Amino acid sequence: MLVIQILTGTIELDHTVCSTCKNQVCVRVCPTQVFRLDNMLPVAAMAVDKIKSGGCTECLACEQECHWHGAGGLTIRLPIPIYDI
Amino acid sequence: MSRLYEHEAKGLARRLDIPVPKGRVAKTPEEAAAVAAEIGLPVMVKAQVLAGGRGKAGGIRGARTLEETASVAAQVLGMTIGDQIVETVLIEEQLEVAKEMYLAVLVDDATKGPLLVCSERGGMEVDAALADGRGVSRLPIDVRFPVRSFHARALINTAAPNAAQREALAALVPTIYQLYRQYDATTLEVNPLVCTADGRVIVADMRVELDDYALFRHPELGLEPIKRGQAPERSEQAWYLLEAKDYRGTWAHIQLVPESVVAGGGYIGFHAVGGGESMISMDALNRVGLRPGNYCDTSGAPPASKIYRAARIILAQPNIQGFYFITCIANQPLDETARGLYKALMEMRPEVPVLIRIAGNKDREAHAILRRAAAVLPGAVEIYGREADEDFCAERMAGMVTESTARRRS
Repeated sequence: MLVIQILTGTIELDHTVCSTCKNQVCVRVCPTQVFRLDNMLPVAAMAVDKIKSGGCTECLACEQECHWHGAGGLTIRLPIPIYDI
Repeated sequence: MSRLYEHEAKGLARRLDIPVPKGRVAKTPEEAAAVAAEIGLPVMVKAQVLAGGRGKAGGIRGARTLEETASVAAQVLGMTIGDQIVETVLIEEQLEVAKEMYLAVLVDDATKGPLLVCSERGGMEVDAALADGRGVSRLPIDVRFPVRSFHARALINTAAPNAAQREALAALVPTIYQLYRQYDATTLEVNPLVCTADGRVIVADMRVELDDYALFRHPELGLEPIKRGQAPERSEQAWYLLEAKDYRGTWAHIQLVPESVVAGGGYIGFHAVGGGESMISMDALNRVGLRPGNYCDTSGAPPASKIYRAARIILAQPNIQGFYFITCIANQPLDETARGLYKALMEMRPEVPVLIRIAGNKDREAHAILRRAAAVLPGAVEIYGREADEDFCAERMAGMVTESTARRRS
C-alpha cells in the first residue's frame, strides 16, 4: 500500500489493485498532477512536502474517477475528530 | 460566545481591582472547608457551572461552620444543573446585603454599540425592574471615547443608598466598562451589585461572555470555545477543530437542536452553499413545517474534502427524516462541491429521502456526479437545478418526508 499524505488526510494506493487497471485515470484527472506512472503504477509526482502543503487540493476527483472508470485501488481517508472517522 | 465561569469572571475583576468577595474555588468538600477556614465564616458555597438557575437548583447555599461548609460542598459537587455536572464550587465570604443593584454592559442593536444599564433593583428583582423600567437607567456609549465617572453619575442616579456608596459606584462603572473592552466581552452583567451593611460596594456575581473571535488576543486566559462548559454538541466540536486549521473556503455549522432531541424524530439535516441561500432556504423549509436540526453553509469555494466533512457530520445526526442540500451560487465550482457531497452520501448511504438542488457554476457536471449516487442509494434521491426555486424544493422535501414516513409505518 502506498500512502501519500495530503493536507488533511491521506491517499492510499493499493498497487495490487492498481496493477489491474486498464486506464490509470487517476493520473489524467488530477488538476495539479500529483501522480505519475512508474511501471504503470501511480506514484507521487512531486515532493511529499509539496503534496502535503497543498499540492493536492483534495478535490476527490482521483478517488471517484478511479472507482467509476479505473480498478478501484485508490482511496482517500479524511479523518473527522470526535466522530472517530 | 465564550462564557466565563463566575470564578473566572471574578478573577478578571480582581486584575482591575474591582471589588469582589474574598474566596477561592474548591473541588472537594475538604478543600471547601479549608478555604472557608482561610477566608472566615460564614461563607457561600456556589456551584460553578455555566447553566442558569443555580440558586433555584440548590447550587448556591450558605454555610456557617466548617463542617457545614464541607457538607454543603459535598451535596453541591456532583449535582447536575441544566445539563452540566458541578465539578467545582466557589467558596466566598457571605456578604451582609443592604441593597442589591444591577449593572451591565450589553451590545445595543439600536445604537450598534455598548450600552450601560443600571437598575436600582437587582438580584431576583432585576427581571421585573428591566421589564417595568422603574429605577432603570440606560446610557449608550461611544466606543471612541472612554467611560468617565461623570457618565457613571448620570447613569446611577439615585441607585445607591448613600453618598459614599454612590461615589464608590461612580468609580466602579468606568472600571467595569474597561474590563468589558479590555477582554473583548460581548456581555457583562453584575447581578447582584451589592451595597453591604458596612458600606462597601461589591460585585457579588458577574456574568461575562467573551467574543470567540477575539480569544486569540487573550492567550493568557487559556480559553478555547471548544472546551467551554456550554457543552458544544459533537458536531460543533468537530467543526471547530477542523475549521481552526483549514482556511480554504468557509464552513459555518450550528447544531440548532441538540442531537439528543433530533434523535426523537421530526428533524432534517440541512446543508446549504451560500449564506443568503441558506437563510432563504431555512425560511422556505419553516414555511412548509420542516425543522432543520442543524444549520450549515459551506461557501467561498472550499475543497471537496471540506464539503465531505460537513455533509458527513450532518448525515450522522441520529434519526433525521431527510437530508436537504441546496445551492445557487456562481463563485465556486459546484462539480467539486458535488464530489464532496457524493463521498459523504456513499459512505453514509442514507435510507431517508435526499433532496439536492444545485444551480450555478458547473451545475451540470455536479448533477452528473450526484446522479451516480442517486442510482445506488437506498433512499429516495431527487436532484434539481435552475428550474426549481427554494419554495418548490422545500415543498418537495416535505412531500418526500411524508411519503417516506408513511412507507415506514405501513
